[in-house]
Amino acid sequence: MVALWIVTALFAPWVAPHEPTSMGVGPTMAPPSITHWFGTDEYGRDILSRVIHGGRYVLAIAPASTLLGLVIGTLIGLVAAYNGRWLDEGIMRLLDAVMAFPIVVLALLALTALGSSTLNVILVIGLVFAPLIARTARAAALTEVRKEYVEAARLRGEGYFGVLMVEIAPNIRGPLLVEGTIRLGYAVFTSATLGFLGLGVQPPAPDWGLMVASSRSLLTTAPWAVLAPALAIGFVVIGFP
Amino acid sequence: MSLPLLAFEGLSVAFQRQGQWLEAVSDVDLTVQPGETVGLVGESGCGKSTLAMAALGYLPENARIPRGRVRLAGEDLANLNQSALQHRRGNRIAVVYQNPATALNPALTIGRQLTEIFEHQQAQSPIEARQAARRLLEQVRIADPVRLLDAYPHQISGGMQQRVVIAMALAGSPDLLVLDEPTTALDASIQAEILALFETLRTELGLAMLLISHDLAVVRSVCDRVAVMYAGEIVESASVAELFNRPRHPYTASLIDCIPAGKGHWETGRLASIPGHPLALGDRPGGCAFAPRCPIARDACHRQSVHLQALDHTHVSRCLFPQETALPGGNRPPATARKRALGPTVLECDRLVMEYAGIRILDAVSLDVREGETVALVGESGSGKSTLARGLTGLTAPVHGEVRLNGTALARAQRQRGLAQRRAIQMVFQSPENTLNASHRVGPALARALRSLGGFGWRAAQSRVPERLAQVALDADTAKRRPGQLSGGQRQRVAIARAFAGDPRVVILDEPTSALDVSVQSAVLDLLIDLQQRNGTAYLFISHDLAVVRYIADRIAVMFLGRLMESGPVEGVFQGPRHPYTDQLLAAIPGRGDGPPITQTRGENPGPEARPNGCPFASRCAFVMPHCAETPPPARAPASGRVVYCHLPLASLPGAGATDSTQAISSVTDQVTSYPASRSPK
Amino acid sequence: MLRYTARRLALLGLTLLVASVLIFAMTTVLPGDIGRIILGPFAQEEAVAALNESLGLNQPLPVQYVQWMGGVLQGDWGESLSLNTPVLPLALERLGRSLMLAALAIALLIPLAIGAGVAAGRRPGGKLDRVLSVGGLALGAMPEFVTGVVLIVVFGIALDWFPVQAVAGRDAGFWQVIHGLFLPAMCLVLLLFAYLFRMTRAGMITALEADFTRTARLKGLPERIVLRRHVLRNALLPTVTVIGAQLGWLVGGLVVVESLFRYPGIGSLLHNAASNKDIPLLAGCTLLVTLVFSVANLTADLLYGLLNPRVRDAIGD
Repeated sequence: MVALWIVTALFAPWVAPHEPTSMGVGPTMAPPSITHWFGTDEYGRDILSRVIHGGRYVLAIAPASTLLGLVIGTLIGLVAAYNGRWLDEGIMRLLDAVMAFPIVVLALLALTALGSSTLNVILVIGLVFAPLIARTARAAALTEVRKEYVEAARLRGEGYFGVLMVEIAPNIRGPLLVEGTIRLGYAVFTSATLGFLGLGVQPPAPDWGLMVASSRSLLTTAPWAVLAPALAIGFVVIGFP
Repeated sequence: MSLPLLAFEGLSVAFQRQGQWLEAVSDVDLTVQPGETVGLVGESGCGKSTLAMAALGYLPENARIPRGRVRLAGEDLANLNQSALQHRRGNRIAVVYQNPATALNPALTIGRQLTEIFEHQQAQSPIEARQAARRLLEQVRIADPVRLLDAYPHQISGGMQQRVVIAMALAGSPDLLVLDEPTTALDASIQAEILALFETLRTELGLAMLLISHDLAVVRSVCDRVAVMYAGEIVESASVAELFNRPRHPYTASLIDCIPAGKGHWETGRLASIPGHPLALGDRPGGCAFAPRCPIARDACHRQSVHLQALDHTHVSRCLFPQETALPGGNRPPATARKRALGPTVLECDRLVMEYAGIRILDAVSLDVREGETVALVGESGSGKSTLARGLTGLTAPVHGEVRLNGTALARAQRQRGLAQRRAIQMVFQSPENTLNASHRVGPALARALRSLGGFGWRAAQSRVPERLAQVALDADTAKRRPGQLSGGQRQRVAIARAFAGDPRVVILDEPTSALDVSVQSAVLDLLIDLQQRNGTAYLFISHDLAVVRYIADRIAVMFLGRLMESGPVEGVFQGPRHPYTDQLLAAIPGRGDGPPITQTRGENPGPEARPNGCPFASRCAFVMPHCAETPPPARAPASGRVVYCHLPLASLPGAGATDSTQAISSVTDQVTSYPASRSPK
Repeated sequence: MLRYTARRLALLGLTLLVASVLIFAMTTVLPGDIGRIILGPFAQEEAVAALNESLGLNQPLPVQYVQWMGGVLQGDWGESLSLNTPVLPLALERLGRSLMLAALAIALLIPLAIGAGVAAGRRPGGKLDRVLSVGGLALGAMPEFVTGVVLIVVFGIALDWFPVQAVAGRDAGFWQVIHGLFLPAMCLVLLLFAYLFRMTRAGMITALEADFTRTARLKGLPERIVLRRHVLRNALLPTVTVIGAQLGWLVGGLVVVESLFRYPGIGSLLHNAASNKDIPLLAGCTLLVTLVFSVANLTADLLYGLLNPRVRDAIGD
């Protein structure tokens, strides 16, 4: 199922029957029909095309931000676990402080400050996820750091980064992979939420969250305008894990 | 014969793994009569723990009993429903497990965990139950029962936890107690106390016991009868005296010859070893299960399956040729040539002080090791021996004092030491699971060590890997495997090969064989001896097992709470005047004579924060005098090369001719090290 | 216990300090020319400069920070630019409404998730477990507004069981208020269910397989006592911390859900502030939310410390 979405998103310009931003291709607020599978919205834009194009944003944002978070988080977690004592305490307190912000609030704040764009969304989501990933990486690394093969490596004279990367890192692959897949789902979730709040990509781009938000007022009159993107999000999110 | 309390009748237990049913226990016949203590001995994977579970009807979901039955006082457990089974548990039969810390619920007080048994089983009121709980704690000889009732498990020591677990088992007044490795996780002296407690309970309550252990010495000192298990089957069963004096199965005989207890230094004779490795679950060949590793196996053994035959009315054996089993000592290789001479001092530390979080763990310890010699460092948990190892290697920097290699002072922190120094001092660790990096294959890991320590280039290092593996008796194709695919013994061998990669001058071994099975331990010890004889490496061998120490070490240093108590040649310490603590440790060895060791109960360890200014052993010493805790003890020299730190005058030290445990040590030694003409037919 | 509490309190203080700096940084430093942002690209240079002057933006940063914090501690949280009313009273009023919603959500969540987790943990791999795990996972992964939309469409419009707008009238009775809040609360519950369920389930499984459970059973205790006294106590202990962790998502969910249901809580206020680039309001709301969130976390931690005997001792830390 995920594959379907990826394919349609990648080939959006060829698959979609209409331009996502062109208005008036059909009657305004028309219910689903043969010509417009998902109906049209209040500007007469074809919802199907918008949904298909919206998939591209998800495809871009979710994996990129997850990767960013993974890289930064793992590095921080490894350093904290290996150095121990003061550095570990310091890093963890800092992370605790950052995590004291509910994620959405933090993202909200950051995007308001930085301005909304696709790149900024990726950056913000990645940075916001990094502390959580750092926590997991650190916990996994801590169990490894105590083990004797690490001491044996130190006795051999392996350097600091040598021990981190060569010895410890391969052994925390498992938990990190699991965390990464979970984070991917959350990334989709968060970017959609940000879109809904109007903080992600700006109109008239067909971001799914944005579509839900802008069509909210039409709930009672033209529910398909809201349902289509909402269900699209739902399907993708379930499909990933 | 009266009705046995517990009877396994042709019992087999199978587990389902990945769709297949594999037998862990096959056709076991074993009984425990009222009042008797039966021992069940075997190495890891032989199925003894499964048998213990089966005795209580507590098998996991993926297990089943394809044949045979378990009878508790005549009743077939399979016929009992869940509530009847629950009623029997705790009431007729109870269990004591290996790890007391995890056996107790951390969220409930000790008192609650005891009173609930009384409230449930005997419908007592809370007040009556509390009284009963207190009496129970007194019965297991706990000093302050009332305080303990309101304490949580994490607040008391390991020894006390185990006593509580025993108390819980006794609460229902069971007729039979099943003990699954009850003292393995405890220090030697605590183990001795718990064993003495069992003896007391046996006489006071007339309890029958099924003691399951891998430790032959413990079983010998406590049990009336013994059964030996291998690959899920009972291979021999007899009275204790018979089994140990005249075993009738090659496996038993080899096991007896593998244990270092009661034997002298390796120069007087090496330990036996059992070639090959134990069978994996469900890997049974046709014919006798032990045949591939047996010293007297022949064709018939591989072809036909073997049943237990009764040799006389108490002795059974699962061997086709029991009369050919070697006598104790018969499986041991003859004494090797004289060991090489010792060289100059290669590693020494001078008044080393180490601290952790402001607490002084090591207090001015001085030690030295000469080239080609093995110095054993002995002490219980909390003595600081592992910390000393870390200080010597520089993994943790000492606070004061100096470490010298061949006379030159070494940098305190490992990072600051040069390559030559790093190469010269290496370490082998205790736990085979964590000693190798699970993600790295053996070959590349060894090659990496050869590069960093041996100074070889990439290709040169790789080409040397097979030869290094052969040196530790491993096949060349071990290089392709990951640690997860190797057995514990194999992993330790790789760890040894790794430590020897740079031809070290000193290797520090921190309990290298404690986690290994008996037969594997003897092979690894022999490997270490061979390597030492070939290369002249010095060993600092840390161990809590005095029998192993006696076998492998030339000199011994005894530590307690971060200070040295005494040091000197091994035989001198074991047979001559010695420090009271060493005396206590020796007395704690099970197998002293034929009964359990007698120990006087004394206070618990004070811990490094509460170390007294004088002798740290003052609170536990049987010979304590008023000034012992205040003034540091002087150094006494009972013989040349020996030093004992004690306030007692030389003539009053234990072992100085007066009665003590040496009689027992030599009597055990005499029993077992005689060499009858070898019975091996080959 | 005392040391534990003291440590947590100190942590709280540190967290709030860092939080305030972060908020300050983002709202004051990053956006650049504040005056320009407020007045828009077409305003005159002088007007922008005058506004900046009046907002005190020409002074060095640390001074601005101190001034701002000083004001905050005295109760002066500035004035909203878009609504022209003082920030603090407005935020507090909205906070009260949000707390009502949150309280309902939590009251529904805890029995549901923990009950489900315990039931599933007793029979892992069984039918109930699989249904709950997959279902919970699916629902939890969907953004709140998706579930919210579906809920509105199904229950609000199609079945007409619940009102679509969440606010009840001024003189509405207690049950009417609950009735109105039900849909948004369920939205939040569905969001948070998965994680709490999974953690409870894992805790149950670990406790059921633990050595001490085996000891309890082999003592001859009946299964229900084993479960109630031994297993549950250990299995549920970690859930206190989990609930604390969930609070962050709850707050985030509040923002979205309140916007979706047009509920006048602090979440929607935050949203509006962000949309309108109303800096003082944004800073004030964020600060308040962070404060409440941190205090809630602290309470959860302290509760955990109280319940866990190992921590309760003076030695534990």
